[in-house]
Amino acid sequence: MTSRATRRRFLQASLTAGGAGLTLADVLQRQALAGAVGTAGRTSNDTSVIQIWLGGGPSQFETFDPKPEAPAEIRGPYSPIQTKLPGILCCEKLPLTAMVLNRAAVIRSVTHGTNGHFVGAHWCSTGYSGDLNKSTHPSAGAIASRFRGAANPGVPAYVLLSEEQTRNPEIATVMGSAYLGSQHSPFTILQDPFRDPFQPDKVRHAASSLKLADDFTLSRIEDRRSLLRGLDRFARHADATRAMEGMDSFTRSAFDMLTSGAARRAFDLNEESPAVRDRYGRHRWGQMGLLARRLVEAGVAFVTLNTAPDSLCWDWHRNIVNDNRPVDGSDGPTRGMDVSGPPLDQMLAALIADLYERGLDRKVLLVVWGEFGRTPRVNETGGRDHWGSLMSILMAGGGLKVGQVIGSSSANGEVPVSRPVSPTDVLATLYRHLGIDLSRQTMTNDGRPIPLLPDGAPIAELL
Amino acid sequence: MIRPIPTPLWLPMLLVSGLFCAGLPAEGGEVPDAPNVRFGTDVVPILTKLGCNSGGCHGKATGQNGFKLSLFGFEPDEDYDALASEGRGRRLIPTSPERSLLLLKATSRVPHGGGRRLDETSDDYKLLRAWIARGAAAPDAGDPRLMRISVAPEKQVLQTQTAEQLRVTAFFSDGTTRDVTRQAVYQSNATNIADVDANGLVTTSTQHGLVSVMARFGEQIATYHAAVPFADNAVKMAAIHAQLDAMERQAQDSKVNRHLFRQWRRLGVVPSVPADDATFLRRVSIDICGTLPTPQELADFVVDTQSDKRTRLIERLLDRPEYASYFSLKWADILQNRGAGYATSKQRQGTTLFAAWIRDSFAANKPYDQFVAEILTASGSQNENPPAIWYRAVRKSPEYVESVAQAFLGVRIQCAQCHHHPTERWSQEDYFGLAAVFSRVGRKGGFADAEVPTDEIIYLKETGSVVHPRTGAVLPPRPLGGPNFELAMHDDPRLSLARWMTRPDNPFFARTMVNRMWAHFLGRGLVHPIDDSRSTNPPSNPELLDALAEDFAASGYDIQRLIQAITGSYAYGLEAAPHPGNAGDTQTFARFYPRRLTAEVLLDGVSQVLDVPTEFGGIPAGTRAIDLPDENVAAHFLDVFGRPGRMSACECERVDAPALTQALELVNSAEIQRKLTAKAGYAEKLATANRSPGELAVEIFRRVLAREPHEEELKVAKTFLESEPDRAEACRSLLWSLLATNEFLLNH
Repeated sequence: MTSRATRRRFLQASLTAGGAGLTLADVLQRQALAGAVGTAGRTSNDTSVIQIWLGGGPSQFETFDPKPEAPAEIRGPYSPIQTKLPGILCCEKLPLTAMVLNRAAVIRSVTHGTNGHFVGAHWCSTGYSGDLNKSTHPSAGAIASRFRGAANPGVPAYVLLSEEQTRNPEIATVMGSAYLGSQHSPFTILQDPFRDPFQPDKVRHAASSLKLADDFTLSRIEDRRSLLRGLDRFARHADATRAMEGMDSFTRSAFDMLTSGAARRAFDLNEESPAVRDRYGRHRWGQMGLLARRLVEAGVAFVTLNTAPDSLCWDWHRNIVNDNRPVDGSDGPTRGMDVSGPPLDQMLAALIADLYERGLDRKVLLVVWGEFGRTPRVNETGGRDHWGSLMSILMAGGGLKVGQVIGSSSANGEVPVSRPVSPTDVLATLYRHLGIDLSRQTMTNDGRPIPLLPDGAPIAELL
Repeated sequence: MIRPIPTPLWLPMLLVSGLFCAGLPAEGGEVPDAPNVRFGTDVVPILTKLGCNSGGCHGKATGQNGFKLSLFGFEPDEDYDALASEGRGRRLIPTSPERSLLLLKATSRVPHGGGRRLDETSDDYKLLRAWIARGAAAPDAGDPRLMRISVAPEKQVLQTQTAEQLRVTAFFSDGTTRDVTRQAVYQSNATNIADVDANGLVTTSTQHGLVSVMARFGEQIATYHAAVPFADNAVKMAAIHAQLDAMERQAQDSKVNRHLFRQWRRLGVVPSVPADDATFLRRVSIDICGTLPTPQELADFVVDTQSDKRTRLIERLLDRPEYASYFSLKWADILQNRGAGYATSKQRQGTTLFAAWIRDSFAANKPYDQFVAEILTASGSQNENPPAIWYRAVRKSPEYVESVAQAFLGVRIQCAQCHHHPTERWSQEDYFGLAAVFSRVGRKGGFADAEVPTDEIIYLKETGSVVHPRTGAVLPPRPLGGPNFELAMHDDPRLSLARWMTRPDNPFFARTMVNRMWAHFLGRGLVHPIDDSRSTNPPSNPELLDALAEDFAASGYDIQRLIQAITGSYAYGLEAAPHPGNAGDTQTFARFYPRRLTAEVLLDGVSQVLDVPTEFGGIPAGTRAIDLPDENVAAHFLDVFGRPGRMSACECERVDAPALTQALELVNSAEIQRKLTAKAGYAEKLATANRSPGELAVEIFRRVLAREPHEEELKVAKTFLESEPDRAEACRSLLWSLLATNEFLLNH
């Protein structure tokens, strides 16, 4: 290693002598990051959002709006249980969440009226209903990246926890950045974090690996960084568009991100105690929930946790309880509340409790939802189909007035009967929490100004 | 009218004192007492000026807080209803005008999300109050209509750091005119050169160039054009002209060059020096073939001593298959040959066919008019007639209209779908008239399942029409600006559209293509952005644009001849580095404007340098990125560097802005690491070659940057190679470092 160190000293010396005027150490100190990572010096904007996305469309009946009085073909196979919110019932498959529901707000009257997965997901993710299979607007996470950025330097602004989507990949595009470009698209984790040992190098932004390698590669990275500075003398003033200055600063940030390790540590669940990991649940959703909490603690502004393994886990056409697909996985993963309820329950209850115990309840806003609810009438195979007229969602933290239920639905869980809430109202609440001015506009590539949201206002009852 | 200001220090003070107020109608008194305050021409302009009806506020499609106005006040009747009839009558209260919600909100005396927009002592307030107090008269069919507006002056040459007050006059149908300078809204198209304030005061900065300011009142627009020369006095100007004369004598005599020099004379700008051979070779190889030159090509070109070597180089490049590949990639973006959205296997057959058809068209140098007509009028089975595949991604009225307008006419007409275009003359009649051309496009068959349009058959339906969304009237097919096409019952309106487009006197078609090609090679359109042609965004060099368009049409729309004319121009052969005589120039092509290599060219470039092809899933080995059948081939590198999703016909979808993710990709991606360490790759080959560090360094520079290293660079590289015991690792690091330099990433 001696020759390596010597060589680096030589390079540093030659750089300084060569007129660049900066040693590597200087550069390392100038860790002012821009764009998709946090801007140094910003301390007040340290809020963040965790969005737990129940892709496929969770049933209002089997989550937070059970209808025990309704006829059997509507109320479904499960019984309701009491929660910590007096008089408020939830599905029996969510017993742990029921015990912390006083720390959450349930909205039983979210509605948009569309029954297509893509259009509904696009609406909830972006605020715009959109075209079939064409992601036209930036997601809330991309908006957070564009207008807020991360709270701390060295970590990304927007992270999507989502295993590699092999089924219905187009639905995942609604979590993207559309015309805001790749600098605002999510850093995506493509591995089941339950797998042990967890592999941080599976964290990707597209192909850009955040892998921080061993001493050897670290040393190599430093070599290359020095060499690049020694050779890249191409007249910067040649480019009046400043594209080169931009790229130079991003290159510095990239090196910093790789060498400082803040991002890598945030992604590394091995830094959590076994007890904490147990509490969230030793299953993929549990560990994803824990990872989400680590990421917001590190300063990530927006984390979307996509309930893996596919985009449609909550799409229970075949059976509400368990659709018993072939164990070999040839027909996709098995779905149903007996399958998905317990891991969601454990993770959600742990996350809500943890946020409050760690004093993150003002800083971090949690929202749990999917693209729509499900049909009131149970179908002939014991499943429920798409129902955009009503969904039941949960919000917690964020300094919101929790311990309440907002809105109510008709006796058979068909439509809101009071306080209809639009997906854009939910997004407006998230943006407000992130300190994003709702009157801001984004600009399409061809210069068309697009309002952040077409309509909607923060949900007053929560504020 | 030009008021020079001694130093920038004085500027703010002058703005608020004499200069600002002196040029405007007197405050107070007269206006509110005017007997006839009219809603359409008096009230609505105030709402526009205050921003009430802007897209971020009440002008949004859904309004704001239950109060909706038409965007920019283009529909006064609807706005009147919103004010007078909705809001439970509280918005306008003639018996107690001050208590009208309109005034209370605008002055923020009751909480207003938009804040305080209006002062109680202002003329605007008094006028609104007077209108309400007199009973808030509704718009009347007999009211004088606004016919046009003018801006004075229209054209001006300005110095830096000066100010000029514009005056806007409105002309009404009853023959009256009115000064609407205060009521008009203004927008500069180059705020870095000159900005304009809310009252029409234009202020130039320290920068030079061309600027246009749009004034809008009602739905009428007028444009002011200013030039800020680089030379700020006659003596300097004369010296520059002498310099330019000498340069022009050295340049080839061509129409393009004459128009370039005329522009440089006018602005007193001195172009950079001509680029050397190595720079030119790399530049033109990238721009024509999307491919870096090899060290052999470099050696051959540099030793060639013939005076026409650049012309012959261009001809050779146009003959190469990479030319057709690269331009077919560009056109597959514009024609939205999209693979995503549906199951890949079902889409790929079609995208492959269409891509091949485009490639063959460029290889055969198919005349551009024929190329476009074959697409627009395509009928039959998509698998048998590939241009019909255009109709697979372009399926609905807005997609037809916007794709045609943007791709072939250079016009962004999207705005006119929902409202009168705010910066152009386009109305909803234009939008839906163009939509009507496609109203009889029929589709049958080809649906492998409910959602997947594969081999559709495109045909002409017997019937089909488009109605105006507001009036409900059926709109006959017509081109932009009319008149309606004359059509017999069985005529395909698409043929009429194609004929209209490709007529030699069509004002859009040839100009759009030559502008697109100019932007491809020179880094910026003569109209910029390239598909945003409008009177309020004029070309930087209209005579040059016209000359290129005329020649293009006269040549029978010969694309290769157009490329020869552009790449053979004086501007294309200039160095990228500016000098004091053209620093800050971004409009006149007085130097070559560098830009980042596009995603595909960059990836192919890395593959070529390291001699390791990229492996694309499901695609034959060895396929280059510029040859991929569609954008739906997974390649994170390409996405990160801005590969477009082919969602629209706008080339602006291909983003070249730098991003952190690109830096991470270059620094740490598995793909580049794989290429650096591949057993059969260039890095590994170098490591085992029996060469001195100096020889290695020279070879690496030639291969990566297509030039010889400078002395200092050679020293750094050599010393680095000597200090590293592991030769392979040293070569990898040097290669990596050069691949990550701006010089490699840019075409310059």
